[in-house]
Amino acid sequence: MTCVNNGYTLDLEEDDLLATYGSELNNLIRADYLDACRVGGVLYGVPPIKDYAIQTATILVGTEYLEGAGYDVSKFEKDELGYYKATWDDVDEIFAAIHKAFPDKTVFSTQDNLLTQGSCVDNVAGDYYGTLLDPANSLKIENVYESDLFKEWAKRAYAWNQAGYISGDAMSDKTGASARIKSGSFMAMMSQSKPAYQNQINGECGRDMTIFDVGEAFMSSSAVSSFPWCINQSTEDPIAAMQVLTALYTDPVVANLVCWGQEGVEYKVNSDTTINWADGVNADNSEYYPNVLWMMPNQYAAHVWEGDPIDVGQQTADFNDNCAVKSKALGFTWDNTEYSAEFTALKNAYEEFSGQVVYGFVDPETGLKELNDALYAAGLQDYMDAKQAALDKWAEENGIK
Amino acid sequence: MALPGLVYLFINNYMPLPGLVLAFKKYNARKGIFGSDFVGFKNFKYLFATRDAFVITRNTICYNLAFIIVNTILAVFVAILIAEMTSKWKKVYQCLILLPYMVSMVIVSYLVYGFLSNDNGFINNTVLPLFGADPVQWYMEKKYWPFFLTFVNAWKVIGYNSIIYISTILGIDRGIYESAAIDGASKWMQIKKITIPLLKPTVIMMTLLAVGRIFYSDFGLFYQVPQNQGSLFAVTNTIDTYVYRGLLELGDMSMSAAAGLYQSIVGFILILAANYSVRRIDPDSALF
Repeated sequence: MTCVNNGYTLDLEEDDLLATYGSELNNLIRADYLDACRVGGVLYGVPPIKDYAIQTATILVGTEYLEGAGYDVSKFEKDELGYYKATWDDVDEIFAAIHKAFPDKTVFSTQDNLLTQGSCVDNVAGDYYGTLLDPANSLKIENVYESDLFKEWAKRAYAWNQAGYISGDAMSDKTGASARIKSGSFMAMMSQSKPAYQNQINGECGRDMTIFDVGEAFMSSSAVSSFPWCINQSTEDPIAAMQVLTALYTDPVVANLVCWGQEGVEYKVNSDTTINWADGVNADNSEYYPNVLWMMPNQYAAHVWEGDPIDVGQQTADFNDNCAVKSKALGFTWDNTEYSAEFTALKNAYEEFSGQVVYGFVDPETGLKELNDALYAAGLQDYMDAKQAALDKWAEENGIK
Repeated sequence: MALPGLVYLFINNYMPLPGLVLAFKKYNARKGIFGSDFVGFKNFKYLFATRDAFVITRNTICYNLAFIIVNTILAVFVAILIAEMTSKWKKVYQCLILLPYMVSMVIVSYLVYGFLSNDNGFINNTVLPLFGADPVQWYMEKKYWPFFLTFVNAWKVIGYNSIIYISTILGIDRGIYESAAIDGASKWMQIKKITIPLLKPTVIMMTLLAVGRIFYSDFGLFYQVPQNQGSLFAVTNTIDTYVYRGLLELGDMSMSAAAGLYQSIVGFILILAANYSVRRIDPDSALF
């Protein structure tokens, strides 16, 4: 949004650029997903082809720790993606078991992702200051930090902290959650999942992880427009730029290069067209292993890594279409520059008071009150009202109730 | 001789000045800096209209005042010590004392983390148990941090600041000391009556320069060393860190330009005012 507001991106339909040199993109991407990347009717970017829906609230536990604690996972049913379906009470039980078996390791590797990856709350217009608490059914913007969902999480984090599952340095440690698990001192984390997530998370954590699905599938309003591929407005040759953009999406040679590297150098092709590490190469010494497929223009035009199903592209498309909770506000964007002073103050207020609540260092009643008082003092009500007005106007223009 | 330096000064410091107009515009890359729409003082609103405005301004000014006082006293003290040294290790000490200034603030923040970490820190694991005290959650207790930050800042800069005082002391005519010694003055008397008064112009000059930067803060010190902890914001949030946190997501260049303009204008006014007052008291010591 910042790039669009500040005028850095090129209008992709200027002089029929997209229609002439990027027509394959129109075929690959559904029209409504493409529309999600419009601001004021102008198309400024193309969304990557990926899992727009996410399977929220996935608890990942290192398999070796479950086995070490003797915890039997066969009692869990599997969900439609093949992961164990569990409840928060089950998670408490699991954490207690591995904490007892491995007392010198920290149970839970924290990150501030409850709302982004652990819930179906829609961060309409791209931030959590004023959200849709029931995005599939309602367009009413409310303060998520006063909601029952957040209160429940604060209580749970507090209980976990008191039980010793959370490190005392949780607030000051800035390393990523999966990097901490990779180091071997932490055992579990929370994230989001999707079809064929197992390989990705195993690679990130450096060990086999067991995936427990605690939430439901959710597609937020900004899911599609979060990582668009745009063209810089000061480009000397827009036609060439558009051709490169199309090639990234359609040409397997280019897609493979960008996603995986060079054949024979970083990866080798198996007989069933999946790929695996080239000889002598692995995650630690590979020259090119970004492992950010979720950002790539079209990962499904490239090879599929061994272990993932060949038809993962189709599975993902189905996952997107059949997602349980889809936000009604899909495609809504908002220019918040009129409220940038409030946004700055809100961001500072959030950073000041959220850490101790989200990681369970202060009792929920006090912590939540402090957080919400600070947010309202920073202008939360004005910000939410402005968002609601813009959302209502957009809904009217697009005929959405 | 000075031409390359002057040219560089002109290109780097004077040519960008017209860009200050960015603080009063709503920047749009397509229209460029001078073509963007004029919005008056709107970009300055976030620095004054919020509840944080008082906290960040107070923190910035108070810390800078504390730093000026503490650092000057300690730097002069260190300079006198080094100047009085006669042992062959003097050069070694001079180099060593300069070392902290060269260390990046990010590394310093981890050095501090090594002391203050809750689970693994030196203080909680080794020092406090010696006294039988309970571990303290250092990154959540606000009251210690003004002291910590002043201490870390002093550790870092006094070596560097003392250099200019050392050179001033070395420029004092040795004859004065000898005649004082002949008249029966003790070492302490010599320092009090000769060295310190002769250091006065240098101290005043350095202080005036520091006053000009009173609305700036060392970003690394206030953002990295407290490990960006929200619970410490009330005592560690300064104008620079506030702007950084708020605008990192907004990416609004005009708002950051407004903050920079605000800091430099206030610094400019303060330096003129301070210089004027110094000129009234002691005309020889004034900067200009």
